[in-house]
Amino acid sequence: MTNIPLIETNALSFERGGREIASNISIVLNKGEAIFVKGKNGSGKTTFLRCLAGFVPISSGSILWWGKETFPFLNKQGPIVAWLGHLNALKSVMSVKDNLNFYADIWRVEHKIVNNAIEQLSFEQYLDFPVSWLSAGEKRRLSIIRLMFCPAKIWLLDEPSSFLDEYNREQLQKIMRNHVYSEGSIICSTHDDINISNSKMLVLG
Amino acid sequence: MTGIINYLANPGRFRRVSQKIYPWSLGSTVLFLLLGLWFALYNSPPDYQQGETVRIMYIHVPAAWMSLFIYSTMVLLSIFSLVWKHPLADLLCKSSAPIGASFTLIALVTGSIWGKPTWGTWWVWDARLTSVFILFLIYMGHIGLVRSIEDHTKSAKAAAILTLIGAINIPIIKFSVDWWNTLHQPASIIRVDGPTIHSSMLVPLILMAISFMSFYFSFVLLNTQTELYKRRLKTIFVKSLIEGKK
Amino acid sequence: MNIFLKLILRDLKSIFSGGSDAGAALFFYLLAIIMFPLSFGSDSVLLTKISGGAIWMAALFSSMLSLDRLFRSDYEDGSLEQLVLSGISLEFVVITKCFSHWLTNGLPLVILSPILSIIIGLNIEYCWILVIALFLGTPSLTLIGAVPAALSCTIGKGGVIITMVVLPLMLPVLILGSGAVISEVSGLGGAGHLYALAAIFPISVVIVPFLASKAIRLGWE
Repeated sequence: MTNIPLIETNALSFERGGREIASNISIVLNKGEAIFVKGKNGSGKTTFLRCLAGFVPISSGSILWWGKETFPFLNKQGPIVAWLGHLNALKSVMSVKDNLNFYADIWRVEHKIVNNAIEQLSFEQYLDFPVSWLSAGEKRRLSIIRLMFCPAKIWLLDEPSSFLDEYNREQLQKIMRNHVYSEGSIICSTHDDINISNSKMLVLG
Repeated sequence: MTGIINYLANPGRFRRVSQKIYPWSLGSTVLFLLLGLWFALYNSPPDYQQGETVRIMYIHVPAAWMSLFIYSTMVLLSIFSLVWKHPLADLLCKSSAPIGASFTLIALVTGSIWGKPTWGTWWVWDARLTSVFILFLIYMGHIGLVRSIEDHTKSAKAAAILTLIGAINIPIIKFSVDWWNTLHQPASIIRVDGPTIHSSMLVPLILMAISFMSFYFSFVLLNTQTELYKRRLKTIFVKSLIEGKK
Repeated sequence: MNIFLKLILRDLKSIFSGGSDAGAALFFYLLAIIMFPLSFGSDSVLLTKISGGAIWMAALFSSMLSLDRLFRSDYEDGSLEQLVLSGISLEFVVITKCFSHWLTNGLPLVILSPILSIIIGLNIEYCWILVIALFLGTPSLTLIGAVPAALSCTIGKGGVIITMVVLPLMLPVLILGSGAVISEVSGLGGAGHLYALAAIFPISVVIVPFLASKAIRLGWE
């Protein structure tokens, strides 16, 4: 039984605003691996991740998920791909608790796991706050909590550490490390230097 | 048929082919316009009731035909664009809208001018007039929305999407004259039994229709070519900026 | 079905927590209707004749005003992206959003219409046909408006352009809806209008999710 890579891109090229910004990108992602996408501003890191997530159509090449071209949305455990982009996907009029419970509900995650994630990032005190009261950094941490209890094993992260302070950046690194070591995989665009063994680098631009 | 459609999907090929066709279709427009007008204004009989004023019909009716035909073509192009992802269909759709709007306006204005001596009124809110007026508004809204999107590729796709949602109006217009038989003359040409109008009047109508059709053809090609040039210009401009910085 | 309810509840929570202008649209409905007797004078014969149309016009404007919020909030904060990646099809999300919009905009219009129509002079015996017409027509208003609302996410601004685009598309519903009341009042019977009005709904339900999700994906590009 050959080991089919989770994600494989072959000679991928994509456009933004009608012009091609990157071409011929070929990567392979296996279980328990992390790929860090680096490059200057405007080199197409976000667009690349959005192509992988299926939000942006590709102009040539292919993206294979377990060898097939169809994007895997769900299996019995819930979503297969977790996304953390620039936007936090939080409803500012609803409370922190309600926001998290909505996703916990549709992903069918047990309360234990959700509470665990909340404790890990010390967010218990904010549970009843409306999200509009949170700062940008706290909102980012909230989306990371949601990322943690998502059943998905493949993480697509676009500059996850933005708005986070020194301490929280380290927390994030620990979380990412744990995910990779427990057979999860990550493709992450970042300007930081993240220390995870078993990681590859892709430089755009 | 699909072969031709696929063949023309390449913008470069489309440009070359349309540049060859354009002088011919423009020529056809002028030729049939002159022929049609000669028959319409000179070599056809005045109506026994309306007299000479019936001659406005030779502009009004083909213009009305075109207003519906163009929107129906836009619907077809939208489906080609959204379902089969033909790369140029949405451009052609975007380029057709101003031409369709113009023909609709011509139909409304000539109809109004024709109506005053014939029915004694400039305008009445019966089913057909109302539906065509709504069609005009749909065209204008379409043009407005598409123009407000700066990205050319996105605006063409938005044009396709918007066309389809307005498509419900077309059957209402076509059958409205049959459903509500009010002031406007019921359909006398596109009918199940065949035309009921005399051939001496039918001939100039058909000639004018061919002329208008060629006009549409010429100008949709011209507009689409312009769109393609605009896109290329933007790409070249952006490239030169980047090269310049390096 | 479960997901449907959860999404609706989430939208309703969002709307009622004061994050949007649902109340404003209904208030506008009231104001618009009251403007008719104020502008046309209190001649009750005239008002009886125009009351059916006045209510429909007010319903149209109220609908149009509240359409902008249909997708904008979830599009701009990235929630739509999360929903799609959670395995919920965008077409399904479109349907749920239209349904919650109708619950908070169309349905209140239907419920308030008898009271308001009496205020502006429609005879009580014709209230029933107004209610039925609004009930059949308001879902189509939401659906038809959903596509320009989704396209406005691409543009970013929205505002007047969307109103300009949406209004002509809604006119057939207006004509059939108020035509039903007018025909009934004049004795010709409004059943034909109601059938035609009812026919627009299934057509919209089939084509709108497809088009609206294309429009949202266009914005994502």
